[in-house]
Amino acid sequence: MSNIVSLNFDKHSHLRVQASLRHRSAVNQHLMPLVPAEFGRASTCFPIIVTKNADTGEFTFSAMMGFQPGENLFVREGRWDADYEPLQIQRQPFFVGDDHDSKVVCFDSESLALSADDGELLFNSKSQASDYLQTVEQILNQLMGGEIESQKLVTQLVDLKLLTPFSLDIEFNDGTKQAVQGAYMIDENRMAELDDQAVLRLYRSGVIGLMHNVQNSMHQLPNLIARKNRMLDTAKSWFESA
Amino acid sequence: MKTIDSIVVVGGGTAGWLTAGRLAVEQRQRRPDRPVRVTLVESPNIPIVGVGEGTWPTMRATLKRLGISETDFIRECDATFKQGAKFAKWSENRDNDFYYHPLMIPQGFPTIDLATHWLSNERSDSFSNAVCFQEQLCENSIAPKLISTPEYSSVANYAYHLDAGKFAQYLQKHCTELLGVTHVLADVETVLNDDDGDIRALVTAQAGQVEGDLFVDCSGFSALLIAKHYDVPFNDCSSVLQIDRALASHVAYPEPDSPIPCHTISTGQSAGWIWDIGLRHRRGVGYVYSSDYISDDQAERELRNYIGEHEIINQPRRIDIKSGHREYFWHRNCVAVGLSAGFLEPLEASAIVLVELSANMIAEQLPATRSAMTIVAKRFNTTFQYRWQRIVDFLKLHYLLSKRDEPFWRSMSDPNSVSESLAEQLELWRYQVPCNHDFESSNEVFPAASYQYVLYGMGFDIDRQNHRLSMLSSAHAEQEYQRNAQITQQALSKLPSHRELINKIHDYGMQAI
Repeated sequence: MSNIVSLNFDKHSHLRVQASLRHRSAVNQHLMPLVPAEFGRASTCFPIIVTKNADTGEFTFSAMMGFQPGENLFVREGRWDADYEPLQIQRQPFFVGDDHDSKVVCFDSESLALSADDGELLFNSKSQASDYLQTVEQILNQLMGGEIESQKLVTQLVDLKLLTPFSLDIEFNDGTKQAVQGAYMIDENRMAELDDQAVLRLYRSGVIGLMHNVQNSMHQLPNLIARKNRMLDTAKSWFESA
Repeated sequence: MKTIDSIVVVGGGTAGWLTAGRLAVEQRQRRPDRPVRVTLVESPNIPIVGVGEGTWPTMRATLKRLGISETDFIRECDATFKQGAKFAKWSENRDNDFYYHPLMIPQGFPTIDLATHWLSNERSDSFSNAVCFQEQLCENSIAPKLISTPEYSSVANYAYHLDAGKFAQYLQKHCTELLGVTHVLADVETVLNDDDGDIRALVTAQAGQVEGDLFVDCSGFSALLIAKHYDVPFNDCSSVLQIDRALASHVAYPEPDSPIPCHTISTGQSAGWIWDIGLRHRRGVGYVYSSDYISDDQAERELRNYIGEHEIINQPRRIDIKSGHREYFWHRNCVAVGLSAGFLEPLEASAIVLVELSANMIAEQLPATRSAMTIVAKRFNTTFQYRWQRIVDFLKLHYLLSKRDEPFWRSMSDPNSVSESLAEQLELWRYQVPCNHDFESSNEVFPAASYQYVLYGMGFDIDRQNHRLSMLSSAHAEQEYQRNAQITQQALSKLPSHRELINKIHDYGMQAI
């Protein structure tokens, strides 16, 4: 359940957020959208893949956190279990909403991260945004700018035909099989064929660096499989000992 | 030795631009350093016929080959998806009489032939509904794919409906800007022969002489080169297919977001049938009829009666048509493609597919020299004589099984007006279902499955005593029927409405991969 409210001091001066619980909304999310600015840090923790938005068919970059809808292997025993927390989680439970022509900060009043007595206050005694809320606002700004950056990047990759579909067939330790489909990655052969001018242009605009981040992140795939296997092993030993 | 270095296409309608584009692409791939020049000469004064609004699924491969983005094509040509044809009131003149000819082969075909099983059991479900999930998609105006499905890929097989005028304009832009086709706007006044009788050049009013080594006649009904210049005889098919008039109009949707049917609707009338094709912002609706059985005024009344309350955007426009085709299509260094080659009633969208097939064969077999051209021409003629004959047969089949009793329908279903080849097949099919063995020519146009859909949709009478009925176990057949029912449910729940998908393509576009 969610209930969207726009944030205002009069109503929410006592509201607090427990930062350690903000990932709770992501517990069932196997793909977490990323913006280019965080590719570097995200690539050390998750495979970064390209998928299509089901509603629009447009390409988006996401951190892969599980192998099927509903599965997030980075939430373990209720805790966030990775060195990096994507901006889409850090912003929780806030987002930017439209109020007529202007942008306003909104939040989900049903969020588990909200509390009346524990956590960070959103407003200080001078009825100004607290440091915490200021950080959240920065993150929201980064995300808004990042969406535009992300679209630009996608356009360049599509125009140069640098994306290619890939699929995975994985067998986990317990014998279950999983097919991963509908994902796209950087086409390395195509990249090698680019002419010098194109490479220079991509380098100067920072795209080459981002592409390397995405490519390197593929090394996280074995780690993600191992993570799933560990989870299955834990579940198995738990059942056997019971 | 005279080499082929320059092709001149006459006519700027769908046939002209599709052929010019196809030839240009092939030649640039084959001889990138020195491609054959392609020039298209179009009269600035003659409008294109532009009523052909339905294609075959082959159009997907054709557009892709021309390097066209499917998103651009759909946006620019007001195109929509077509998953088959619904024939209403063809068997009997009553409201709930209809059957489908979908674009997908029956479940399990040809490994498992459900038709034999369907025939030997009294099933309540129609043939197409029992063996194919597309009828349900069409009945519910559901799209054949998702917005995330790549361009030209499908969940359910599809063709297009399009605005023929916009299509020709779009192809013109693509061919001239990206494929290097030279566009000459000029009226052809005279045709000059060389000493052997080949066409050497066209003399135009505005652009002087246009020379070439091969001339493609896409000049429409006027058939400038193949008929006016070379006088190649016309093979009249009007005793078999008697329709000779069309009344074409455009009709508005009641609401901007009214559902768009995802199939061609063809509804039997007293002396012909009405086509109904849904584009994005309008429907194309027209009556094709035989003037032997109905007056133009009465035909217009029937058309208006069909349109009913809906607003008519373009008033009915009359087009005279003559069923038939050239006795041969390639004569000397001139080949006819499109309406100049022939015309048949638009029952199974055969017009544009014949253009595609012709353009493919010319492009793929274009000889390097004039002397080799005679051989290619001979083969081309044999191939297309066969294809036209098979299309005539297949169209005729739609009428033959009708139980309607108006004089037009009685005359069209008269066994004496049937070709020997079709009569033979019908005799055979009384004892066995159409199978791939019946269609072994590599030049076949309609597959066995299409004949099954029409035969059993129209309620073809088989010889039950002697029919080679099912070898298939009931359990096995039941499995296949259930599989089809399952796929139907999945498709209905996952695929968006046709209108929704078309809107999304305009808003977001589709990805190439």
